[in-house]
Amino acid sequence: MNLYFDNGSTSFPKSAAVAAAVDSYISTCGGSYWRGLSARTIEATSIVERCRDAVARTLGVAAAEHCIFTSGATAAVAAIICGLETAVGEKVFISPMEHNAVMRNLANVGAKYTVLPHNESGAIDVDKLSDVDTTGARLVVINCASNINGVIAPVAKIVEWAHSWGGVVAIDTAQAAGHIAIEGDSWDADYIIFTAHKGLGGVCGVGGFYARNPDSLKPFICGGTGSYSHSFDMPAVYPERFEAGTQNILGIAALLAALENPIARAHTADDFRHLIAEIKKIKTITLYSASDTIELFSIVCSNIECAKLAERLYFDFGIETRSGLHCTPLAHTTIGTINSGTVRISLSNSHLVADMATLVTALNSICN
Amino acid sequence: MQLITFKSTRDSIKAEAFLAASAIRVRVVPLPVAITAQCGLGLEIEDEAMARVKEILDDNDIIYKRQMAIQ
Repeated sequence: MNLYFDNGSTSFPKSAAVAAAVDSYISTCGGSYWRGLSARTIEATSIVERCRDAVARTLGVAAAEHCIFTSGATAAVAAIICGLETAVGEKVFISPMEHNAVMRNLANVGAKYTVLPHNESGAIDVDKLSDVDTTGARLVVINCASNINGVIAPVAKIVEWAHSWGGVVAIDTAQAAGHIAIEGDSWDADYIIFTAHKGLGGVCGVGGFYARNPDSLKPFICGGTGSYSHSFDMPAVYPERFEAGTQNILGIAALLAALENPIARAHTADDFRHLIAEIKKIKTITLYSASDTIELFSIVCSNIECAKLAERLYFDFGIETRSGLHCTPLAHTTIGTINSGTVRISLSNSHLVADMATLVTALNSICN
Repeated sequence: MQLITFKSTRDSIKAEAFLAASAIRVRVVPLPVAITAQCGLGLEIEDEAMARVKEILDDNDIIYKRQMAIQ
């Protein structure tokens, strides 16, 4: 029985190959990235570069050397917003579902955000983009899939619109990667942000970004790279221009194992739709989802506060969810739940139909 | 022996992997201080293997930055 429905926070369980890769690195490999000449150094460096290749395939981009590792998606967002030297007062377009990883970084540099036209689910209305005043704007940040209701953004059309007036688009795939196909080159994406520990099945502490034109970014963190050591300046070559310091090789080894050994799906899209339909039958529950969504949604029950509902799901039924605002006040404002918050339910590939039935039974018991 | 160097660590490790997979004898060696204005480590290759090495690197779109004879 898998009653962990909080994969939007971090995915669990991980593949057995991930545990084996972590153990192997700690127990036998060791080694740092290109600091030394031993076999363990070469192996550690090889792990990082093989993972970079795997990340590029996952993001749908050919230029693996343009894929940069960071400590996570939040650091990647900061690297892009700060790397573009986004100015105080600069107009930045955002989706209505942005996480505080974006909002707080925009606030930190003093940028002025404008939310793109959207419907009540937070889906961007591409038909209205042509009406948007783009004067003075450069950057568009798009949440690829929401961490509140799972709504998927029409990325390709947004990129096409932004490029029509000379803008660049950063696509945050923290929740989307591993659940839907990321097609960076096909989308003509300028920047793609990813994290390892959610849908991709890796562990916490690793994420990164892809930059179609890395020269557009100033290095966000500077320091030693094991190369060009005569200079106080960061190397001009990629990826090390953006990877100062020692990378999280343990986490990168785990991500490589996760990407090479994804967890097989134990349920179908119809099973997920059935789960949604069953929960919608509970009259006290309002369910927040979208027509185009990943397997993540939120609920609010009129009979019980969200925090209490999450508490009872866990202590009475062993079901793990997450209540509150999920670091996404903008998205909660968009869907109308800023005052209540929600209980978020997020699935993984490993859920069985029986797990979903247990969830429905628990919700019926608590909410009816 | 020949020493070849690369513009980036990524190119170096990719080259090492491709050459090793092609049964080329290759050793990762530290670069002399005089040329560490590159990626810190280089690949040491036997003289007679250089022609084949160039073919393999070319086939895999890896450009080496510098080649020099060493003792």
